[in-house]
Amino acid sequence: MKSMKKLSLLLFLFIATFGFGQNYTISGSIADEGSGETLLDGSVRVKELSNVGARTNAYGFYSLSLPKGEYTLIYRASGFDVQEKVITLDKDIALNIDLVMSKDVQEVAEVKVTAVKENENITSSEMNVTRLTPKDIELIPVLFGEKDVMKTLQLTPGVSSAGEGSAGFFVRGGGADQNLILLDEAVVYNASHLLGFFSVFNSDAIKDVSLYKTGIPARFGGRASSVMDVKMKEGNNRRFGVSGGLGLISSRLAVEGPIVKNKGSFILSGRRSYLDLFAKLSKKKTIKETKLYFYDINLKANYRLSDKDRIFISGYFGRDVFGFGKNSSYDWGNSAATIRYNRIISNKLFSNTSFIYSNFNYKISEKSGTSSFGVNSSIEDWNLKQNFSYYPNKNNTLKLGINVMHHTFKPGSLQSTGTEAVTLKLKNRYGVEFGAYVQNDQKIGSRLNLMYGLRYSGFALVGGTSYEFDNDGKKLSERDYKRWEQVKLHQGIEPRLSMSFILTEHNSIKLGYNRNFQYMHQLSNSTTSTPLDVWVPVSNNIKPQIADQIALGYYQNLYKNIFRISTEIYYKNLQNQIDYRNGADLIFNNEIEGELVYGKGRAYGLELQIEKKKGKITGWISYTLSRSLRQFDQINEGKEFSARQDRTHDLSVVLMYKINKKIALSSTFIFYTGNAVTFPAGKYEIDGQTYPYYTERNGHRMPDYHRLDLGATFYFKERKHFDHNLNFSIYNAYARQNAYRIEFRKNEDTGNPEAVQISLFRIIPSLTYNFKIK
Amino acid sequence: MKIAIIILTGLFIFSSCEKVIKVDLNDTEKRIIIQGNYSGDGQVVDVKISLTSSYFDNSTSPNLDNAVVTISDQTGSPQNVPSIGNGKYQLLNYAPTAGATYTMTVVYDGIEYKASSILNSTIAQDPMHIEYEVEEPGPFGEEGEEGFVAYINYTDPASTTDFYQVVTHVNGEQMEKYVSNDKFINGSTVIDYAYGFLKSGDTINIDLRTINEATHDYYVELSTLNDGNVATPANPKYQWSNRGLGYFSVFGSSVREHIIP
Repeated sequence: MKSMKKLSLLLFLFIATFGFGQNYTISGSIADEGSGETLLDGSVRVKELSNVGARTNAYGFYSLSLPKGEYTLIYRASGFDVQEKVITLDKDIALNIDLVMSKDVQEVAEVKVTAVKENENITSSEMNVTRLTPKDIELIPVLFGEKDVMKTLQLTPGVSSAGEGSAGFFVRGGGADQNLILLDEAVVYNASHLLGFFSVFNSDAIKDVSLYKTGIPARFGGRASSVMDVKMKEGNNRRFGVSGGLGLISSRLAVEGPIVKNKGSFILSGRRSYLDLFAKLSKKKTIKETKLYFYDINLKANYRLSDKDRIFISGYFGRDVFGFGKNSSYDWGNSAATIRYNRIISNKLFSNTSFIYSNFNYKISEKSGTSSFGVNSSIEDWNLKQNFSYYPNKNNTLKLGINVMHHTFKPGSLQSTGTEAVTLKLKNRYGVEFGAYVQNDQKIGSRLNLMYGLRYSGFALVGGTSYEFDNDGKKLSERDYKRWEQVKLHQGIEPRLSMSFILTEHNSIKLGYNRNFQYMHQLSNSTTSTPLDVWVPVSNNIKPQIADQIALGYYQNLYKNIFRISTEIYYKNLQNQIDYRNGADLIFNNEIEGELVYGKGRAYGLELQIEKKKGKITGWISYTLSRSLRQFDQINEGKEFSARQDRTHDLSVVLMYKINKKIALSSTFIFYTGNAVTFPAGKYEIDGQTYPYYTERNGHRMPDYHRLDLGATFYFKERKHFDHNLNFSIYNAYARQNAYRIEFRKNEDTGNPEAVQISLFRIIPSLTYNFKIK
Repeated sequence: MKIAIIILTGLFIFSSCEKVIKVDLNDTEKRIIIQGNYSGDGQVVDVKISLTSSYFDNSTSPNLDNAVVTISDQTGSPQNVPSIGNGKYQLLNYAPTAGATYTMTVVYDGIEYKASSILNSTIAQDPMHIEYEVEEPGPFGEEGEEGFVAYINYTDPASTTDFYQVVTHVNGEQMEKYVSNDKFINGSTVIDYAYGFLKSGDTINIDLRTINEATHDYYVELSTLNDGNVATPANPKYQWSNRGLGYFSVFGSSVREHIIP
């Protein structure tokens, strides 16, 4: 008997040690019951164990391995009712969950207390990301009848608009070209229409927007300051729906529905603006013939080949057109196409393969009499990506992958006909950009969540013509390369780290560190950026920009999780920053690299945000106090100076008030310190002409920017298959003339020099009718 | 780029606007500006010295008459350039040596400013072409002008890298002054628009100056200062030591004059 006991004890120990406690895996997808859309911010937690759970990946897939036993699984996602499932785990289980969207609880003054407290911002292992889910997008203020995700992100701390009339945004003191903007994995080079007034993202078609400012996950690379990852909806695979809006400035329409019910779906959406129709009302001939519009089309389709395979196709095409009179036209835009294949290889291993094409180009054409002039420029990318997600146990999620992207830079070809025919072609350049990464998300104990990863990246410039210059920018030599001959290879290792420590269920601390390499840079010949700014790759002269950033944050929920407070401080160090020589010639210059000078930069700041996400009144206040500095030996006599985007104070106040089921009001107030600019410190005459004299670079400030936007939405009676509302909004409600530029010129009457402020937009009202057929 | 302004003014013609504002420029520091010219063929050294003035001040730049100006070639023996009032200094009959490097020194208020410049060989200007032309109506229906148009005519030597400055006077008044280089025209014969439209009796005088690279680059950088939309508003590269503004240009000069019949 004794030996039997010993044997069973040994056997038990054996099983306990080498049987890994007999873990089984629950895996599957979490989706929206109404439309079948998979949820990207879904999670499953185990009621009985603390800090044990799993998150869905970018395709709504989750995998959780637990020891044999009985558990209550709690499935949740923002904006959906929580679902509990009791399971007996004695073998691997495939469990797909459909969550039901929460009924609008905003007319209820009291806060519903649920079994699981809504403090996922504290306890979640997802860190350092600003996320907008469809539920969040529903609640944001509407401008010109549209919910603009990019404008909304600019209202969060650390993210600032590049200014009226500018297409980009700045994240934590970085330049506008330092943000990686992705639409279903395709790079978007110009993310706004009409120079910043509308974004290229039609919010009807968007499923999720995530902005990473720090601790950027290792699967992203190529830009120094941030990643804005936009994912499109897949389309309702249960029933057809049409939604859209008709407005004074633009209109949009989206159609979605199943290809095969529950197996495949599509969504097609489009937008067009028609400001030029108003111009046609003008009596002045020049204005009457002005063309000014944009349009964009999004298409996505997906199909489930089996329980384990799924294929997606998405496409985007957008264009801005401007024409002045009959003889000049400017147009530019992005196009992108993606084919993706998901496979659930095992209940612990998920694979995604993507093949992506993206293109940004612009065309200028001017005609005068018999002669004409045309310029064409573009960037074209082909990209292949392979990603794996591996879920070995409940404490670790491993992600690894590789991607290779081929760029073709066509900086421009100029053609003019007429009496002086010229054909000039700037030489094409080609590059192969690649990356490989590995990352682990690990839970240690019940309080510590850790993400650590490493990315190896590089860029090989091939083909074209390369130049060598001396320190003053004079050309020393040039050399032609064959199409696939390597000119220069740049590479680097990018460590990424993100950590969150849960103090109590109401507060936590987070830490992030990332190193990012950027291999392409956008050059601008003016104090504001335009879509016509040229992108240049790294080369034998230009080095990759390198950013090192560290950030520390503290998060607190108050008063039953109704208020959320977050504070973050960051420090960023930038290497190999680019600026222009004095008097640089950037127009159609093959030898443009000789006009560049190199230096370094640093940025640091403090970000504060208070949010209220529940109740009749919701919204947030965000404030950023920051500095962004640069230092170049050849500029400002080598002394450090403020970057253009050095905005000391940046404040946004957003309030939404849902009065009742019929009316909702919203208001947005924005204030920020003006850009740093260079103003003259005196003047002098040469050959009878007056010229300004400069001392410091960026030593002066534009006037402060502030404006108030107001909006009201009137909801008509909701019917079973038809929703509609009317939105009225005012941009810049108190009509402040915010400075776009300050020019120094002579007064026409007195001849005295004076400073003239040019501002763009005063008060702009708009009316939009929105509808949804479901 | 201008396009940004064009689009946005087109977009919101009802909305955009301009207004004069007060800006504090902190503009108290005064710096010296020296414009030094030596025409080898004319044998004249002309210098103008002034100070920067406060930006919104409408008075012209104050002239300096008590600076000490000397010019010398590489063999030494500096020649004094005497003041002739109004901030101007002039030396006549200063014979040139082709290919020599000239140095000018200006001493003012205890500070010495120095600059050097090479005298390049003169490139001859051929007789100018005069054509009678009628301009086409503009894109918005404006009428075209008509009259005589003068074209400068010269041949660029292929063996050298050349920099030019073209100064055009009409009836004694300076109308044009620009710089160019031979990047696109090396070795070719140039017939380039000089001035239009002229009428009978007008006198047109074109001076084709061969300047050197430093002066050419200075003028290019200078011209960007009045383009309101440049990324790098900064002073042109200093031609004078001790951060003196201005230039020192030593040039060969070939002049053609023509009276329209």
